[in-house]
Amino acid sequence: MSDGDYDYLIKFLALGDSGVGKTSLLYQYTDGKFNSKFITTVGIDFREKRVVYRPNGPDGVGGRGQRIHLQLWDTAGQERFRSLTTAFFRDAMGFLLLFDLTNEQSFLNVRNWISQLQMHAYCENPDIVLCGNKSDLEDQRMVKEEEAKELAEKYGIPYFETSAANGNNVSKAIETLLDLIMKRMERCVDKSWIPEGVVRSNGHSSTEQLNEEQEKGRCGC
Amino acid sequence: MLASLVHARHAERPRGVPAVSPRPAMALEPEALLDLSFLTEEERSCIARVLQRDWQLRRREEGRISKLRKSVSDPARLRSLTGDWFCDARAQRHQHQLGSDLVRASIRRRRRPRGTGDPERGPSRGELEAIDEPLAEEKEEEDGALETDQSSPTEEVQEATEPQPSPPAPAAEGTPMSQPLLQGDNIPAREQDSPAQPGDTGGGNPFGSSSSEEDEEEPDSAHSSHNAGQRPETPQTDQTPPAPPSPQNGRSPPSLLSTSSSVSSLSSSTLSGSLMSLYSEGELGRVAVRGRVQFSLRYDPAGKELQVHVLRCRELAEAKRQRSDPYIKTYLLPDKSNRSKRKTAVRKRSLDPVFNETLKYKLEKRDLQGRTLNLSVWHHDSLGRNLFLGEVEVALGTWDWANTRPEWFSLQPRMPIPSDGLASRGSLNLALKFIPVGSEGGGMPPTGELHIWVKDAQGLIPLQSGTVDAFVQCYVLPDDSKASRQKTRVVKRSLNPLFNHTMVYDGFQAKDLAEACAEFTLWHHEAFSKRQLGGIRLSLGTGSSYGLPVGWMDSTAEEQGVWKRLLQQPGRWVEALLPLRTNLVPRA
Ligand SMILES: Nc1nc2c(ncn2[C@@H]2O[C@H](COP(=O)(O)OP(=O)(O)OP(=O)(O)O)[C@@H](O)[C@H]2O)c(=O)[nH]1
Ligand SMILES: [Mg+2]
Repeated sequence: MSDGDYDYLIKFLALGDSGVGKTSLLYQYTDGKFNSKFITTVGIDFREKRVVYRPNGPDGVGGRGQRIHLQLWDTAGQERFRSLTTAFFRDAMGFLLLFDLTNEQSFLNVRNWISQLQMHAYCENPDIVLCGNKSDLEDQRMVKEEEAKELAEKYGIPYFETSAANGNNVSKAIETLLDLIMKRMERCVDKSWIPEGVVRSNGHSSTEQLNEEQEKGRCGC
Repeated sequence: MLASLVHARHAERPRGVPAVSPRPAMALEPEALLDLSFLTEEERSCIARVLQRDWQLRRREEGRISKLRKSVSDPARLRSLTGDWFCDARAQRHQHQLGSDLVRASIRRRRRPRGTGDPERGPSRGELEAIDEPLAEEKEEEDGALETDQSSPTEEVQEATEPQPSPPAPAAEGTPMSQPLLQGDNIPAREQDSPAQPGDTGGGNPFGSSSSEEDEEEPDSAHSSHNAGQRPETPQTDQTPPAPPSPQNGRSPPSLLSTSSSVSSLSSSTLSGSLMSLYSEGELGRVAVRGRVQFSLRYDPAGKELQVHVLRCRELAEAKRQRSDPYIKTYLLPDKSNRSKRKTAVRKRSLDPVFNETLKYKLEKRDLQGRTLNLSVWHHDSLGRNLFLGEVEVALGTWDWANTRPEWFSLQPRMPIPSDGLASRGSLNLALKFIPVGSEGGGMPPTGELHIWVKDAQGLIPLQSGTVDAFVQCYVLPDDSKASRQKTRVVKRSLNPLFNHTMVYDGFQAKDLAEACAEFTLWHHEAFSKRQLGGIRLSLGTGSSYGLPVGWMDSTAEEQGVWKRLLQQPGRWVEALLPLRTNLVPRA
């Protein structure tokens, strides 16, 4: 068995314009709290959380849970820190890309963030989950759900409407990302050791797996 | 340590350069560094603190990985557990460091004149944090269990010495007094970058005092009043000249100062007197650790109590012929005092003992943050020679408290490296040269450069019978990041290996060198690990760096002499043939 502490260190990174709620979302996730005061992030920060991942999903007949230590990097959205924050992109295995549902510009910038990621992340097509944040401010909404979904589909990434204020979908978004990473890891590892590997132990059918693999298998692993 | 070796494959490329090549082969790859000059001093220190936390996390992770590499044989599983799948993928795109290392190096590089910072925190803190060892209080957390007491003071033995504001002249004063403390205490050389092996420092002294014991029989009063957890504020006994605080450290946070100065006084008594035996590990490392322990953790909010329910162990090592009489002991680190100690009863004659006992700690839930549960298994011997059988550490700040089920944990060794009582295991032949900024005309070099030429080692004494596959690793401390680390190739099967390796570190001013320490360690390379034979540390030996107490400023008089010559003769090679000592003070 591994060291008594945890089985995997998984590193995520939150990015998006300043003020969209990256820090708040991570804070909600790790501590279950929300602060309505805006304290902009200086450069870089991170939070940690321990979770247990069950490969078969919540209702599957699970093997033993995997103990995951999450390191959640929180980047500054402000332009002036850009060179510093993009340096951290390569350290993360998965990305939470946030925009603010009440701020259209932050949504328009999603494309730019994605191309930044494609350029600086550890590989060209890293796993990303898109979050339209501040869903609790329904009356101030400037971005339609359909628009956002469409964009997410275009990039082939999951989309969630989250609220760091009331916690809606926050864990779901992060856990979805975790699931993507754990599956990618499995593919990477399988690929290098079982050349024609088909037997897998997660919930997907094998055809689904193969399609996914064709789509995502371009990473250097 | 394997993790770093393997890591190095991705994270680093060799950067040796011909000995006399003028430049720009720099250890820190200036072309790759970020220009972070736009950051304010406050921002810089804020970021440095984050990097420091990351660094600690990574050290812990590297420790975990190196254990995995020893214990997991299925390669696919290993690839996923260690994160190699990710590192390999990243290495195809990013040849060099981790982003956080890059930023760390970049921050380090953009030095600003000291004394202009945030008055609250002390002007140079930000910069220090970016380039330093963990701060003293953080170190505490990382250091292991009680048994480390004798070594942690040693580490910090000199912190009362004032840092040298500028080289080289004043250096001589502060140093000689510290030498006696550092010599002859047989602090075994240990794998320096063995990460966050918390109890590791505890490996402290398996040979220094073989008659000494685990703590059971010692008088509690003596113990608790001298342990690192609650250091007494005794006045300084050293004859440190009463130098006024230098401008850059005059405002260091009080917590740091008080901690360190009291450690210093503690260390002098600990090491010189009979107290030494109280802190020594005794028989640590004599039994090959194996087996596992099962326990559950529960926090009871009503009783405000942490409950460590120890169920059992399996397949423990045999302390004696086919038997062990095990018991379990816990500490809630960083408190290493008796207050923090809990023990189970002894189970006689069992390698698979069932304990079924709950060890309890009263504390607020929020206070669990930053605490580490150290749980060790010991063989109890009625004659008092308790033997270490393994340990486990759990960081409670990140524990999933929803999980109250019993979990199995593999017992871990503390891995001291035997020193056999040898003061040195051969010598290292090298030359160094300092080229101040602009000294070559035309504004070149753009920053001060430290050139190092590792020539060869002579008369190595192998750790075991046979020979040595040697390589030398170099850091210029306080930068202990990968960016600072350089290694020679491995020279196989030679007791007089020829390396002829050169390297250049840039970004130095003469006054930085006074705060820096070039550390050379010689290792025996093995397939999945490495073992240190010995090392040398070139510095002014002041015991502190940029105002912070550090154990690694422990250069001997001879080593200090070399460093002084280096500073006094810029632009000239300084030759040195120095013993590879086995008593380097562990670096955190
Ligand atoms: N109502 C509401 N407010 C939110 C939500 N998330 C964040 N906020 C508020 O939006 C402001 C900005 O949030 P932060 O989390 O600091 O934003 P950030 O993305 O980290 O910003 P930078 O650090 O500058 O990049 C704060 O005042 C938050 O309280 C949300 O889901 N709902
Ligand atoms: Mg923020």
